[in-house]
Amino acid sequence: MKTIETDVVVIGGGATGAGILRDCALRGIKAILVERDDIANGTTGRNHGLLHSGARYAVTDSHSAKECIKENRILKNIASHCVEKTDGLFLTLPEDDYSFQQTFIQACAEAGIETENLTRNQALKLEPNANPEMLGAVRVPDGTLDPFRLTSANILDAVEHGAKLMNYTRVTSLVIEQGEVRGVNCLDMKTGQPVTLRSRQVVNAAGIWGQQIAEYADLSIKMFPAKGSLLIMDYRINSMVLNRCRKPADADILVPGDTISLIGTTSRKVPYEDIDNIKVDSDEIDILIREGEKLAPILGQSRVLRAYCGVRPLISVDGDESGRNISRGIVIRNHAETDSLPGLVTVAGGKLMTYRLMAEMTTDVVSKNLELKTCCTTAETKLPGASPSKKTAATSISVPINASARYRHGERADQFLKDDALSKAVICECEMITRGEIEYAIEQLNAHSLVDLRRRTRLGMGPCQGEVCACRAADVLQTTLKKQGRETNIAEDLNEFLQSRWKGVLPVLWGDALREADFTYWTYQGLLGASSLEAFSRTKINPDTVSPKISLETEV
Amino acid sequence: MKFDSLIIGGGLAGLVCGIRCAQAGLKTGIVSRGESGLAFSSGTIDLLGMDQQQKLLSDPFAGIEKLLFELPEHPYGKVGLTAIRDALSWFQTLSCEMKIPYTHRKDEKNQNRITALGALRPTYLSPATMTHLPIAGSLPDLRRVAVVNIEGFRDFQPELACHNLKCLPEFTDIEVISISLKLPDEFISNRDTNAMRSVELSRQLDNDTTISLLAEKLKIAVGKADLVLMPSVLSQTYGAERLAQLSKLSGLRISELATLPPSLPGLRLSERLQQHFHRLGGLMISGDKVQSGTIEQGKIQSILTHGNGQMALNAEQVVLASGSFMSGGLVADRHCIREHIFNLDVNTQSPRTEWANQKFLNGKAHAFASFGVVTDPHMRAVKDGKTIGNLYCIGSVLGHAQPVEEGSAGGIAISTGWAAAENIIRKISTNKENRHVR
Repeated sequence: MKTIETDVVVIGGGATGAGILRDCALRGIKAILVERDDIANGTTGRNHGLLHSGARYAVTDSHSAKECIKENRILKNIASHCVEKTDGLFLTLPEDDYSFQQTFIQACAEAGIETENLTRNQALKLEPNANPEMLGAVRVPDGTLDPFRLTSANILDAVEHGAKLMNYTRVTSLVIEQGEVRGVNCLDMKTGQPVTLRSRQVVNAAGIWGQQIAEYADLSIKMFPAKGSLLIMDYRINSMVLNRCRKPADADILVPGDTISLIGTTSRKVPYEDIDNIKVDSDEIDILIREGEKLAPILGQSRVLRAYCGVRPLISVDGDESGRNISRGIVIRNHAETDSLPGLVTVAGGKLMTYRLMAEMTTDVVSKNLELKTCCTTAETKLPGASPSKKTAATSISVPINASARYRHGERADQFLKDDALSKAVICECEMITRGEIEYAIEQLNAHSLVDLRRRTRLGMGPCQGEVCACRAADVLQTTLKKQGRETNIAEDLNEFLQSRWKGVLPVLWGDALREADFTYWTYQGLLGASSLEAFSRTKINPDTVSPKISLETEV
Repeated sequence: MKFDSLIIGGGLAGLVCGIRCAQAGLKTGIVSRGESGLAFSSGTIDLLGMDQQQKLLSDPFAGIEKLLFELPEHPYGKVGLTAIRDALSWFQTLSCEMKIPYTHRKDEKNQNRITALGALRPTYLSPATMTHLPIAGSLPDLRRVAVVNIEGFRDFQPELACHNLKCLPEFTDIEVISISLKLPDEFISNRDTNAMRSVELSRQLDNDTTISLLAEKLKIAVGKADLVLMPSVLSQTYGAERLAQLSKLSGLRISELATLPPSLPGLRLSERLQQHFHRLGGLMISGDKVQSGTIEQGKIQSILTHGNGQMALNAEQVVLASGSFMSGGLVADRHCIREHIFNLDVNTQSPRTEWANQKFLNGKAHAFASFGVVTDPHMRAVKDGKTIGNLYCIGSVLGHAQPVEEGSAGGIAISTGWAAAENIIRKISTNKENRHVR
């Protein structure tokens, strides 16, 4: 069996795991991250993508509010290409208690969050789609944060500093020797081959799934999963983050991001057994639209592109199983101290916003356990993509292609914005993704499949939901992987991609979403016969009959 | 403006109905919003490819007979088997007149169309530009098949098609290769093939010089092959002629595959039908859409369009061929399905959660695809339970069919379009006779 030696194994490819991997790498600690699926596929990729100012928590949880504003300022610097400094408005509507606004402003001041009190007209000038019936608004330094690019940039930096990512690698058990955790046994999900990673420390950063990892060591970490559902609107209907100026409740945040806007979230308890099979309920959709319309009335007439949901990883501290002591804060357990099990550290709770802080705190514990005296530098060191570009783009590259690429990849776009016809061919017209960007994501950002490519590039996230780009991108993926000598079943991949797009459309299947789906159905099934992809996925082709591609370059 | 018959929708069903009416000397108009479903169709005519149990049908007529028994409300049920045969043979004659002949197999069985994705779909009538595989019985002698693309053309993926073709049991012992042909810049007006869709590319290829060059390149790259599969990009108007020319020059048997939209074989058929309709004296009101109609005494009295809001259109007989959701004939609100123009009765009241399957593509039909208007036995529309005497419904606005999964869209469009026209012709001639008597 294949065995790999390292210092630290990080379990979980969410923002926190990626942050820990980077932190270790920057401190010179050898580390490997294992993730059973793709990066940012769990809770990280299924939330608002809101760069909190902390204002939302100012009244109810001042500790979180202070953490948020600090990280807010750090991320604006180190992850500028993942952040949009949109600012946010907290609206007081006629049905809200107007006196809460003063309490809110006061609490923000105490947490160190700057605010600006606006009249209705001032607010509408800034955000014309906000509810004109508002009584007033408070401006705060909220923003947007792209969780996919953030996670990917952390991984990229870690890898460039010697760390290793193993996505599609599932942990099957912990290696425990003489009462110490000494690594993990894994399964390569693509090949089915087992692999053992031996290490001095294992970090359980699997979020809500961390309960299962702890169980491998017979430890009890009790999670309380709460499902949150969100809707993606087909347009960017607001330019600033819109909140309600009241205590946090359902569906009261509307966040712009890339080409879309997001309304969320609901909050519903779900049994732990169901965390891998959660679905958006149709009554949640009604709530989201009803409440969203109150923030921006135009939302009711806008096309809903998709619906999705994630699980908040709320953790019970001190082993209390009743759920009374649920923490929304950061929980780190050094099992050497709490359970006499050296070699294992668990990190849980927290939020996307504080991923870096969680990573810093966790890596501090890991360093201490490894008896190293290294300092964290992640608060000052810019992520790849956040530095200004030194190159000017070739004039033949169109403005939308150039701008979209730089918006997504910062200065790293220099690596693929090339002046040849093939690499600047547009594969996804909704999001202006070129062949070059897709190849870059496969070669540099560990994308193995079309669904991975979506997370790296926004492929298929636009209005047509992959209708035009799926087959084109499948071709690029197939060709690029072949060049690298990697194998893939492209039929299976395409089928999974189309199904993953469908999953988000299904709950909102009315109006233009149904119209688009009808079009996609006629094209993929009627014209192309794509239901055969399922059978093709199961077919193994004899490699002997696979002949090489012939490209005729010679002139006749 | 006054018409004998006015058709709302310029897709396959609307054009068929319009042509048949115009042939009979009726003053006929078609209001068409824009490109129809033909712009992303295969260009072949499916009749019935699958039975209700999702089993592949070899004999479509036997399949229809069984379908009429199992599901009498199906649009084919309103036409009947004899009239379906008549409609198809009328269409075939028409296709010859339009110089884009559509033929079926000699044994009147379905055939397998090879798709651009490398899958097989049952179909019935086909233009001469495509080679199909038989559904039952022995395959033609194929040992080496080449899938060829023009380098840079994004809407066809030869490697993907190759991969999938190799998965087909029919292709087990067949060598399948993929080839990409690079055209010198001067042959494509120094433009970038990576930025072209099928229509644009076809404009570059649609000349003798480029076809000759392609033939030379093809001969060298392919060598010996029993079949060459190419994306349909040679010419929008003269697809068959160009393909025959390329075949002759290269000495290879070539079949075109309809690409991702826009699909040239579909556009070609649409173009020929429109020309023919013009030739017969029909009036095409393009780029306009019907907004509303006045219904009094159980009849459509007048029609208002978006572009011609001041002047109503009057017609003795009106035909609704506005298509399904995609074409805008049907609209899904958050909690109900409705017909867009007249708010006609539809065949569903089911809640939204029952409109579609959890799986997008697994050969099981989505409920939404069978939604549509209900009609009386003569295909006349029903509103609030009452028949509208002079409004016929044809094509995919009709409910109770599963055009995509059954493989019946073309057959339904042609047979219902033709049958409605026959009804109208009969009615109008009777009315005229009555008037003369008076």
